[in-house]
Amino acid sequence: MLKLKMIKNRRVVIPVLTRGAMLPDTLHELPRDERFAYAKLLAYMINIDDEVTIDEMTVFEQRLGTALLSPAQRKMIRTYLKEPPTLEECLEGLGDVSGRLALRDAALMTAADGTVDEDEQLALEKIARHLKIDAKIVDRLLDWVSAGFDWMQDGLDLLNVE
Amino acid sequence: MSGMLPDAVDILSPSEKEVYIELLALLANSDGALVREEMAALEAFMGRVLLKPEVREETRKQLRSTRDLGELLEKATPNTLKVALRDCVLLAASDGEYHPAEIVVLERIADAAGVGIDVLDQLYDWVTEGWHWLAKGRNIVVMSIAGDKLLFDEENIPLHVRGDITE
Repeated sequence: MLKLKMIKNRRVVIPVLTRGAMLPDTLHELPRDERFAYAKLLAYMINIDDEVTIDEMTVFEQRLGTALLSPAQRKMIRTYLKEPPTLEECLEGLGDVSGRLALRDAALMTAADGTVDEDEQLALEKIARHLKIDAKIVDRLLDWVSAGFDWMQDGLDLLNVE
Repeated sequence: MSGMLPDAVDILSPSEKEVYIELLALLANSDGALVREEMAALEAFMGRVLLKPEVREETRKQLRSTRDLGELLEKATPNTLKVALRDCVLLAASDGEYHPAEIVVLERIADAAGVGIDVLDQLYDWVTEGWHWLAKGRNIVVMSIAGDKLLFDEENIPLHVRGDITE
């Protein structure tokens, strides 16, 4: 249930009982080695079609920021952009939760430029299978990304930003 | 969440992006307590605008000092103010509550941007919708966290019914 708080005679929605669902999500709560493994997988995914778009790069950098990695770890992740690890290497270091977050955010990143190549789709399905999740989940995730675009557009429409 | 997808922030020039990040840093510091969630969100926004490493370092240092909001508002262009306002609301919500000091900053940015209080209220609701969107993403990968079920349960209940007034 949401609570409405009166501040300066105005209501402000304060979802007190949903603190667990806070932005910016749960990635920052994972152990550092799992956050590193998560970022390593994204570094692999961004290179998969041999074409890194600016849209993909901005999502990558955004998620890297959320991961709160150490400077040394960030440096290592950036070397993976030039010398990508194999998918198998990436999957080895992922735990269950970090793996699921990585799958979700890999879908988000690969769809950021508006297209998901066959190679990207196959890699996403492979990650899902590694996590023992039905590969059909990838299509659901891509629909979810599409809904995210709509939500963001709503925010821009509110402010009349063109 | 905002910043996770291609966005209007890309229309800002490099100098506008620096002002945008300065506003976010000021908001993050406004309640005097920079929690891990806010730090993660701020780092994410800095990554999102592909800020140079040296500018990021400077921004982190600014978190420990007091900035003049009025000066920043004067420096900011209308588009910078609007995008910063939207992302400041997201940042303020990142630790689960809007601190009164944060609300004062949000209202001053809104005023400078020519955004009315009614639209600001709609932005608070928009952030809540973003929480729902994120919760759905977690639900798809079967890793729901505490609070997600409550979000889904309340989804179909009108706001005026599910809310209660405090203070």
